[in-house]
Order: sequence, then structure tokens, then C-alpha cells
Amino acid sequence: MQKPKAEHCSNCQSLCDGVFKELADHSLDELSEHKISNTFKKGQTLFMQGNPPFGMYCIRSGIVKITQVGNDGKESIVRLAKAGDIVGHRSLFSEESYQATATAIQDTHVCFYDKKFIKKIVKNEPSVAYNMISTLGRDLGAAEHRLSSFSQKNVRERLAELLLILKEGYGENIDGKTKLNIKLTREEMASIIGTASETLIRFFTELKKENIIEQEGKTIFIVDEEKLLDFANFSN
Amino acid sequence: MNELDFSFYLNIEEVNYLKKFASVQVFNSETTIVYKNQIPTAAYLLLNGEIEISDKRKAFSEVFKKDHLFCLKEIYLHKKIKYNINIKAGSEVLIIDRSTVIELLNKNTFKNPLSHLLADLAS
Repeated sequence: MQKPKAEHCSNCQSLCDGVFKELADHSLDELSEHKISNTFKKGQTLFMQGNPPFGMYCIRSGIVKITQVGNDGKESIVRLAKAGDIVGHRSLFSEESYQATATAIQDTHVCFYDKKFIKKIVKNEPSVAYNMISTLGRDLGAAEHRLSSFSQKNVRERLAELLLILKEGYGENIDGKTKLNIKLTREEMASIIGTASETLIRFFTELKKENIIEQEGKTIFIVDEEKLLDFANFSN
Repeated sequence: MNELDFSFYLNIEEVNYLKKFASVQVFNSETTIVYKNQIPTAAYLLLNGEIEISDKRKAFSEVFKKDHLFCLKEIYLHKKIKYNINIKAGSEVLIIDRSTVIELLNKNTFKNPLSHLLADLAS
């Protein structure tokens, strides 16, 4: 039986942003042969908190939210992952069950690599190991920053900071404004900054009144980044 | 052609053989392990609990119990599944990933209890 060929990793638009970016051609051949590519529709789940991890997902396009349900049953978004990012890697190396759930928030194309294969490639390819450590370091840094932000910043500042973070990851400059190419619900944004939807809406309205942001349907535009930085109370 | 040809019942000898290659895992949350029109990321041998194969559009649903193996050929040959596959909370499975399938194929001999299934992959 003929095996259908998945698209080669060297043609992936996210390769230059990912952990496999420094692999030689023959290693990319092996990667391409082994991967399993799928599209998850908006709302579909890549993996669930509490379940056994058996591989890692590399995001080719789209956005995935990583959520955790606490002891009180409340769900909070701990991270957003975009093209070039990897998800599921932390539990893979910590030998724990998944500590979070990954859900596509828009149609998302991912490639899956199983645990044995990833462990082999990390062992044989120092660049992949280094890039994974970098990724884990960045994720840890972001988590620590988020933790300090929760204790040191008020909701107004945290919302402004979230918009600036979204600008870095998903912003596109259009006619002097920055369009955020990510559509999060009010509930999702409130979950990220750890507040109630009603509170978020109140500060969102304030940002709009002060002409710092604009909204067209569900799309947000940052109009005045300097004022937003003041709003976020960034010291530098 | 049987559309559910991605599932096979295994006898005890076949189950025990597969146990040498993968450890028992428990799904604590009910999960869709394969969505319709996706390529599975692993093959699953159900040891305890339930796996449901369904298609809402066709109003089709079938529940499978222990010792059924799912998606072995599909994971190796990158074949899409035409159904949702849902695993119930508390189910115990062997997760047989692509690397393990390759390992199984490399160790395949006529004496192997799974040789009939593996021969189908290699042909």
C-alpha cells in the first residue's frame, strides 16, 4: 500500500520560528516522514488536562489556547501559542500527565511528533535540545512575569499589558494602527488577566473612550501605543 | 468495504504481545482522541473502559469494550478516519505511537502473534 506524503518540513512557513529551524536537510527529511499533520477546527481539543502525554505538537498555522482548570473548577488561560510554537512538550519531559488543556481558538494546522521520536531527536540533535531549553526558559519567564503582574498590577494595567503582548505576537501595522490578528472573546481576555468579564468590559470601554484602541466587529486595533504603555505602567 | 476497518478485536496472546511495547495509560478525562477527517496520532489498544466511534451527521454511534485495537494501519499509513473517536473517562489503554509501530514492524516475524496485522501494513 502506498503511503501518502505529508508536506515536507522544509516548506513549512513556521520552520524559521520553530525548534527545528537549524536541522540539516536529511534530519528534516526524517522529521517530515515521521510527523502526523492535522487540522483542528475552532473549539477542538489537542489534548486534555489530566490525560497521559505521548507527543508534542508543532503549530504550523492558527492559534491554540492553553487552559488550566483549578480546584475551584474555574478555567484560566495560561498561555497562547501561535505558528512556530510547540505545545505539549513540558509534560513530555516532566513525565507528568498533561497539566493543561490545549484548544484551537481558530482553525489550526499542527504537526504531531511522538514521545520516542522527540526524545531521539533531542538526544541526536543539539540544536533542537538547545531551542527546546530556550522555549522552556521563555515560557518560564512569561509565567513568572504573569505571576508578578497579578500581584503588582491592577486590572487596568494588566489589560493594557495584555494588549501590548498581543500586539507583539499577533499585531499587523495597517495605516498607522496596529490590527490584532487574534479574536479572543471577552471571557477569554478576562481569564488571561484574572478578572471578571464585567470588569474587563469597563476598562475596555475606557480605553476606547480615550482613543487608545478601536474596534471593528471583533477585531481590535491599537491606535495609540504610547498611551497604552502609560496605561500599562511600564517603567521602561 | 467495512468503514470501521480501523478497529480489530485482539485475542489474549496478541494483547500480551503488545503490552511488551507500551505501558498502560489511564485517560482521566473523557477525550476525543481522533476528530472526523483527522489522521490519528497513535493507535490505541483498549484494556478497560469504553471507546465510542460516532458520526453525528450519519446519526451513527458504536461503543467498543476491552481488547479492541484502533487506528494501527491509519497511523502508519497517514490515513484519515471518517469518524470521531471518543474515549471515556477512566479508560485504560496502551498508546502505540508511530515509533512503536515502526519498532513492531522491525521485529515482525511469522511467529509474531500480530504478524497478520503487521504484514498488512508492510505490503
